[in-house]
Amino acid sequence: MKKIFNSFIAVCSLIFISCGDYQIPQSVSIKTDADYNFSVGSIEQDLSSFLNIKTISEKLNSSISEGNKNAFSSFSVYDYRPPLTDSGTQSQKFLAEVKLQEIPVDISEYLSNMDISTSLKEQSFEQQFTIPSLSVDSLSSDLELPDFNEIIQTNSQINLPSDSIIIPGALNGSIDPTTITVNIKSPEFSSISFYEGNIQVSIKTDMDPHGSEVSATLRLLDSDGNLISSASNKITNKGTFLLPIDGKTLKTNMKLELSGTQSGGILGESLSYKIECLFSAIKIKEIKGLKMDLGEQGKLSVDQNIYIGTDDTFVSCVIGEGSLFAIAKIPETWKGIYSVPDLTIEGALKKSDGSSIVESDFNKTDENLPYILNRNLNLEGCTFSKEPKAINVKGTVQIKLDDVNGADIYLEQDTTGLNKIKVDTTCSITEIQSIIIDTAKAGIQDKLSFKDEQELPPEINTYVDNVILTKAGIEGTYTNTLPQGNDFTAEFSSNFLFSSPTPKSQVFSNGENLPLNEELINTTENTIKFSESSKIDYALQIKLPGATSEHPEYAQFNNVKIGETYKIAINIKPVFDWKSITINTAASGIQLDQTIETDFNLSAMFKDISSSFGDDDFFKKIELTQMPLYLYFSCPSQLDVLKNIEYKGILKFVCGDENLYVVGEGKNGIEEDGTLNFRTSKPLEFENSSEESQIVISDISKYPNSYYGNLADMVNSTKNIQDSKLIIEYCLRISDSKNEEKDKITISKSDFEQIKADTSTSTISIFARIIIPLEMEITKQIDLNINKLANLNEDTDIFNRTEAPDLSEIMKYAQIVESMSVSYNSENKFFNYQNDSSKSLQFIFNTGMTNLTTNVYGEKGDLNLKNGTIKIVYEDIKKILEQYPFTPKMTVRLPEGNVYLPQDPSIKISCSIGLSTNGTVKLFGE
Amino acid sequence: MKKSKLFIAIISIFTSANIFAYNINIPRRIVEVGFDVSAGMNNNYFAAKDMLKKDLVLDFTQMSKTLPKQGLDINFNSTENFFIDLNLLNGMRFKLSQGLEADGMITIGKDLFDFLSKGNAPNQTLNFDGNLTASLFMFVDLTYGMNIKEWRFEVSPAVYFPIMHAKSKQLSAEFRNTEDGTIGFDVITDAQIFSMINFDNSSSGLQGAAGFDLTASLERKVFNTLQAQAFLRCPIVPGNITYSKGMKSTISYQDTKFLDLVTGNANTEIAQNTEFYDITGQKYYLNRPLHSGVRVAWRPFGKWCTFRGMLGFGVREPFTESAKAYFEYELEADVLLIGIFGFSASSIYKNQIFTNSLGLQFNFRVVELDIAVGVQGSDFFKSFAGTGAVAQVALKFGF
Repeated sequence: MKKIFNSFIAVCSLIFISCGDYQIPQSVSIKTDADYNFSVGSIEQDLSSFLNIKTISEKLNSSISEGNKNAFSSFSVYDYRPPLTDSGTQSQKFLAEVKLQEIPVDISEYLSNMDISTSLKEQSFEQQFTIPSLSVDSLSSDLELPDFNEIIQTNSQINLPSDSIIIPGALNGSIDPTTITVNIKSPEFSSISFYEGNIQVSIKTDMDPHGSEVSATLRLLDSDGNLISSASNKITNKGTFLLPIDGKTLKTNMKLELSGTQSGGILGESLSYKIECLFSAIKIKEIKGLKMDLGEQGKLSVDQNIYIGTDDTFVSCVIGEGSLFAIAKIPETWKGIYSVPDLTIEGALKKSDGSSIVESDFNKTDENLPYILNRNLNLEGCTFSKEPKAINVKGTVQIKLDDVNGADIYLEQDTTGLNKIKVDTTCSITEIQSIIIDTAKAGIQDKLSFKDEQELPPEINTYVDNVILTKAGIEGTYTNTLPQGNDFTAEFSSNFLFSSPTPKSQVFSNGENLPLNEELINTTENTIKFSESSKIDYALQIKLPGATSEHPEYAQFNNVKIGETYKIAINIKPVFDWKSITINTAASGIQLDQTIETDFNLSAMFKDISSSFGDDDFFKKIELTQMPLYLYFSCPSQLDVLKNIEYKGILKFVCGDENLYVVGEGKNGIEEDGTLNFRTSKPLEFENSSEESQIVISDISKYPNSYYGNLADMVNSTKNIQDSKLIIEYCLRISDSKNEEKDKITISKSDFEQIKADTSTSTISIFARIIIPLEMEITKQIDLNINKLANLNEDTDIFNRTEAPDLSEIMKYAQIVESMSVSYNSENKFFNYQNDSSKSLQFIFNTGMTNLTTNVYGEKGDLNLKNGTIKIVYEDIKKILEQYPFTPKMTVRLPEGNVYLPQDPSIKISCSIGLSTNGTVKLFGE
Repeated sequence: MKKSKLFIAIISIFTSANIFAYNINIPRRIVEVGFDVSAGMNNNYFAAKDMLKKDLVLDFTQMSKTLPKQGLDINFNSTENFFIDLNLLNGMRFKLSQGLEADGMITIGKDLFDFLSKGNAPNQTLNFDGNLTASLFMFVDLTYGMNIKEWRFEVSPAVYFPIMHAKSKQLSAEFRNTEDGTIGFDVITDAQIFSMINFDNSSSGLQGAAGFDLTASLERKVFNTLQAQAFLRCPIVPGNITYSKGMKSTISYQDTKFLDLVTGNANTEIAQNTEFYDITGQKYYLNRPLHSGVRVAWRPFGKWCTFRGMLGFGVREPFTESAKAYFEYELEADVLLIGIFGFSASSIYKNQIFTNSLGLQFNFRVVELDIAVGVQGSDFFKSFAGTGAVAQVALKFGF
């Protein structure tokens, strides 16, 4: 027992021992020993946005397009990535290629590739169009019938054969009841029933009643003496009685009975009273046997517009099959009513002769009661046009009543019901004989005609004396799926090719993919003297049927079906063939002066980069190490007649005051002609064998060339000259080195065909290739401002504070921070130093404060751009936070040396902050 | 020799005189009316001695090391029970009880404490999550017990109403900070409440269907001093809840470059949105936890001193996808001196909570007052350190 008790006490003690000295907390603190990391972000600049194919191409070509309209060729710019050699670098390079001159030998290929031919091909079209559907239009409208309440109330004549009564004076007692016959004379009817209304009876005398007063009761009785209605009132010199006839039925013959008591007046003087009756505020329920001429009140006006939906291309059509129905029916219970319509149709629907449709054109066979309208109109041969937009049905419907048996009419109490009847009109067009559509709105009109002319390049006009064409014109196929009888024509003209303004034409009848007539090709031998014909002109006109001088955009198609889709298509391309081409040579005194001016200026191109780094003198501190120039003189040299040709004259590159003579030379201000010898050129090789990649992978330094030079020195020497541009000037002539007296060279096609397979070129041309490698020498240390790159204002507090902060609260918590580290790393596609591993880009972080343990980090070169960590101790953190404004400056320093920008150059610096905490910080309490 | 004597003594205790044979629960009155109220709250980390001191220090490093995988749990539980008990001398028993059961748990994921204690790796996206559940049942039990020869059988059919059940569909926070300096965060709280009370018209009473479960026990003596019982509370028909409502609250800050914040070019607006939504679909069905196990009562010295033990298991939300099983035990020593003054000590693990309590009993036959206090916790050892507390009061009248 004792042991058990002791055990129990022990368990209880264990629980209580776990309890301690408890108090309500007076402060709460947190204790931590952690490393928190926070990514601040990245500063990124894609330098390829400043230096890329597009920007260089724009600089090279902007002046060509504006100032040198006669220049045949423009600069093509590519990304140049030749195989890496041992001494080479993976620097970003661009290759610019320009054709300075090009004289075609294969003139047909040349002409086929001209821009005008491209334009002509664009005129090829395939147009499918659907004959617009003419949606059936059904509509209902209300026709208001005559208001019979109004008609009865205004036209009724209640006749009283004896329209006066005599009442004696001073009777002072009951008067003898007086009965008067009432006869509703007009209109003629057998009975009328009312929903509501009154018969107003007026009794009056012209005599002086002398105080006579009758308290009278007036009773309306039917012909059998049965009470219909009654009313009481006093009669002095007059009295008015409203006899209610709500729910009553009246017949033509009735009686009025007057009774009551008389007082006052003069004894022996009787007063004679006139009585008048009329209907007041009546609502008729039914009328039976009504006979009357409704006159103008029965004439109903019809003015209704019918719309037939079409699409925008629809103009008009002649209807093959269609009809228009109009139906209006009076209530079945009505009897003895008929109509006399007189309708015309105007607007969008007309008869074939252009006149309006009149009443007699309708088929009214079924227009009998209960229909007051039941007619149709055969629309065959009628014309439906889009303008005006509506078919207007207009006219009158005269309502008449049966003169013999009279009409029975039943009205709803709510007069908006039966007093209106519905007119249903339906118009449908199911077939058309012909249709006119608007080709402009169908989107094909602008392709139906084409006229253009183009200047020939100056070297053609200058060097080519003449060419004999054996074939010139257009060829291709056409499709016309329209039914027979819908032919269209095309006219093709070219003074240049046909030596005549007379066009050649062809009619396109029904068929698919049929060839164009050979008549559109001039096969007569035609000698073109380029000195006389400096332009190539083309004109093509396609004429669709139905076009008028007023509306050339209209086209009319016959026997087409509504909703059917038809296709017309023409595919054309130019075709040429030639017999021979004759080229002027130097002996004929022919030479060509030409200046190609570009906006190519490296200083300007680097300006954007300079300003983004905040160093406007950036370009002045660098020099290009190389800018190779290759010149090629190319021709189908296998031709005997071209075997000895060469260019003579002067060709130079100019930049500022510097000249680089490629052909000829200049000494002491005197320029002497030189000779450019022929070299077989090789075409460029592109990545993925596609020029669209815009990446050249062949090493053109290994290609044979007619000239090699370096433009770097010229560009460097003029880099400080604002607006110095690269200009190409030349004055050249073609010469036969073996026979300089020869003034013409004629190349026959038969000769050319024999060597064509062995030659890569079919032109005599000069073209240049310029390599622009982004390799340079930094001649003076460059400091790039990273603050500017990150769009951080150097004068503004980096924490965006607007006033000196009160850090007393923050510092309570900041004391938990043991140290802070700012880490950065970069993806180095920025400047790389060539062949000098000791040099690298430095990163410098200058706090701008002098009271720190360290105020400039990286100044000793101990922080490279690739990555690094700046450690800031707690005391410095505190001072930095207290510093206002805190405006540190971040700099990337480029020491002197040879550098290059790698492919797709960019700079990206990522920064993160690490906070090491260790300790306890109080959150609440003292 | 000594061992033999000890063995004989133990055997003799278990096989003492027949007068010591009593049921597991010995009724103290023939007719009894009373109530029993208990309430408790606990967590699995903070002990009373750590929290209730003048300078409270939250040591995140220690928390990160000590907290279990699921994080910080905060639990509460409460039971209110009114009953009428009739115990006939032949062992037949009728008991009608009616009451409320409430429990709930909030869990804060350990990732938050790991972050606070260790920090984070560069460019790491931080995700924190948590969980919330709460339930409130009303129940009516009818217990019938009887002795059949040496067996005692009790059955308690119960009707219960799942008045309210709440759970979190999502409690999460995500903080993003990528290498490019982008920062942003989303805090999402999506909680769903299922209730038998119409949210729009609370006066319409309870709507929905009551659940039904059945508790049955069978006991008999093993020795004269040892009574054993097997029991099972098994849900038969789940209660269903008609009304439901969801509330989703989001606080987010769109991804923004830190440098833009510094230069004042960023949008600093924190978007907040709270929307209530209807939970479509079928009604929500809910069972009370399933319990089963074996219970023993050992009275080596007579009915004034009882040692009880139970070993079993429970299943929360049984027969559902959310079902969760756990073991349970009870150890209790109960002493009643001269039938008037009693005290008890117990250690219980039930509904995933360890409870260690001490109780006092004042039994004057006509009226009895039981008081117990204890410590709780979801961790056994920490529960002794006061990571939670529980109090219980029972007042009984009768004769």
